[in-house]
Amino acid sequence: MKPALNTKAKAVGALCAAMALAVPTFAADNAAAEGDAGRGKQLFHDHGCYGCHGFNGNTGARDLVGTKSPLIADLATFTMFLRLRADQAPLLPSSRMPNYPASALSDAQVRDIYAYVRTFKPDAPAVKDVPVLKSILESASRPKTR
Amino acid sequence: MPKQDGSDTVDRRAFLTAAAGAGLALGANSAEPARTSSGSAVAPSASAAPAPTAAQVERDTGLLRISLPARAVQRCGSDLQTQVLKDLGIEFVAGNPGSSFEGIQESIVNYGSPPNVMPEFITALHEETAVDMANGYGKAEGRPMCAMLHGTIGLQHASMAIYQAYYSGTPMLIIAGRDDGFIQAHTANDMAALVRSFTKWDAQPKTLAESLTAIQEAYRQAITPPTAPTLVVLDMETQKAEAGAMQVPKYLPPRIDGIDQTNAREIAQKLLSANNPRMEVGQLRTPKGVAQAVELAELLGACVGSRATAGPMSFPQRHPLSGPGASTDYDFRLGLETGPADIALMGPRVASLESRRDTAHIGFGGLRARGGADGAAGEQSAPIKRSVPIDAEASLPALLAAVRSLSTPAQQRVIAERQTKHAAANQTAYVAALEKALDQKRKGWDLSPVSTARLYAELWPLIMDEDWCLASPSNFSSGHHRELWVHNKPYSYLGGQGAGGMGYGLGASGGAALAARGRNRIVINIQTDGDFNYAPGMIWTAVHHRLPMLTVMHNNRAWHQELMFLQYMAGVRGRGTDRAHIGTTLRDPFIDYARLAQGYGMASEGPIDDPTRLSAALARGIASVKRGEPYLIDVLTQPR
Repeated sequence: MKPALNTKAKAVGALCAAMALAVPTFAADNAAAEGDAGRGKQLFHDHGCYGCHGFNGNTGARDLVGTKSPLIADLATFTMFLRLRADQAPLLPSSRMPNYPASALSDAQVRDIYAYVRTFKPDAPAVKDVPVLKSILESASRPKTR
Repeated sequence: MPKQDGSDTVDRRAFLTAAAGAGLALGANSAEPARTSSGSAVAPSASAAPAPTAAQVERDTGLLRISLPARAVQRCGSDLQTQVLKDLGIEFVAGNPGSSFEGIQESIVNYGSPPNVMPEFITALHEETAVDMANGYGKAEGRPMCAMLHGTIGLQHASMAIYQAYYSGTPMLIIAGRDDGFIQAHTANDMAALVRSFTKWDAQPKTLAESLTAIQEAYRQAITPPTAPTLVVLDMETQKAEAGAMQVPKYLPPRIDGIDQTNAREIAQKLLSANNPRMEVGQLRTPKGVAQAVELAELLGACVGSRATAGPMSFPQRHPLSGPGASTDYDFRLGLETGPADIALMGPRVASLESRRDTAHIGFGGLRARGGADGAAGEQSAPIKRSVPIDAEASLPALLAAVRSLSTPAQQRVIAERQTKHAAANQTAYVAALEKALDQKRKGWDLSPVSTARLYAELWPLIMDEDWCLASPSNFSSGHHRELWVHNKPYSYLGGQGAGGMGYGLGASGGAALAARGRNRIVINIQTDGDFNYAPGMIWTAVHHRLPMLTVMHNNRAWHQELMFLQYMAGVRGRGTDRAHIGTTLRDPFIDYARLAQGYGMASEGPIDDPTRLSAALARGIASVKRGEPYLIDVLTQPR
């Protein structure tokens, strides 16, 4: 086995261990309060995080609201996810998620982004409360001929 | 009275030249006598004829030397060429004007009494757009329209769009003018070689008679599987030739082979004896083929897998038999141009032409045959137990006949019961899938910029009872129509770009709108901003030709896919993503698409970033398009 794979395997193991310890909920996270969500919002935009996560974290290829991903359950896991990917890029299985070493995104910046990410709320209205969506569902109950 | 030998033309030319010189001299208030291009002095005279227009001056003295016919023409060759197009049912010829086809263009606009209206000449502002229009039309109708290109330069402008159409297998007739006696940079000995690797067939006829049969053959080749663009290089001499008593030859449609009766009966027997047969329908060639596929499914009571949400000419998405059916325990599956299947009829693809056409050995990825010699089997990812290399659509009549002749009354009773069960199950499955989808689409519903899901969702109630066509690719706007809209027509969704090239959406939508105009159909173009800016002149063409086309900008102010690619690469290299916007975004300044559209004469509004304003704007747009007035709405959107 190549050394790089060994290192990568260790990294994956470390991340998995961290993820296992992480609580996959959106419970209050004191660590988030350490960051500045306002600055985090600017960083979220400047670094193009919106590219995959939407400008507000709840659209796009990887929405962050309501996913309950362990990777954003707490600051430590979030930071580890960014860093490990940077040091051992790309983790397997790979994704399009960029990697962020400290030279690209400082710990303070990560804290700010994390604080902003934690402001995302699952506030989408229910389908029954959106007339357009409701009408689409109702129209599906009748056969379409054209 | 003009002289028959054409000498009067020369005299008139000399006269205009002199007059132009006089006019210019007077305008310059010069005491010196003006000089013509030949250097002879012409005295200014206040009593001279009125000065020619600037255009006349340019044409008669400048670089724009027109190629004068060497002989008077009583019956133009290009009139016959136009008649061939008419006989083939070509509705539209899209082109950007060029002297190398001025003969046939003049015939298209003036031939006959009253002057010709079909094919109609469609004014394109870029040759790429002309071909994209033909692509959109061909996808929507399953038959060719014509794109007309000017010499080497027009052909090269168009080459990218031809390349896309080739990948899509769109039937299309391309005519390129060639005038060897005029600007040499615009001509070539073998002009078609520029695009030979991605056209199916080409010809450069030497005589008028040959040109007529060449156009017919190009049409025949274009619609024969593998369907694809074909090219005829029309020499100016053939366009200007005296036709005399020449007649347009009779057009013979191609004979497209389907399966023989023995194979048809074998498949029919398997379908009829199966307890739960299923059909998988890919992209057929024409609406007639789609109708026959529906007929076969109904005869069999087979549930059907459709590709209608992915592209044109597939099975109606919400036909009662479309869906997984009452049971997914299928005991025989027939594939029509797709799998999975026990037996799949797979017609040839353009990749099968590569060895013959790619004489320059370019070896385009994606066209290299990866499977059987027909170039079809290797392109299929869905499992197919037995692939029959034959056109599915051409096989349907034999299959229908075989099923009709072999089915027994007992089988027909079972089939009727099965149909009822499938219909109920498919309805349930559809609603369940829709409920699941809607739960996702509501995310970001009230956000600004507008979510792409909301954009599609707000549009659907406005068009669901119209005859509509989504002509633009939806891959960059997350394709929400696939789950929210109902694709029941062969042209409901025209699919992707073909080769993934940008600059396609507007032109293809314009072509689809040509097909829609006069058929009480409207075209929706969800237009990505990056793609828009390659050839925005299509906006003017849509207005000029009154095309029923609603363009809704998916304006995320970027070539967003490229932005994400650059972010990933920067991330892998650990250099941060805060500079990935360089070269991938459309900022500073933002582009105002509504004003841009207005500049081209199109009614428009926006930018809209407040989602609560979207529905009313879309309603105004639909109303406008239904009046035959194209409309553009600029919507600031979430990236995807």
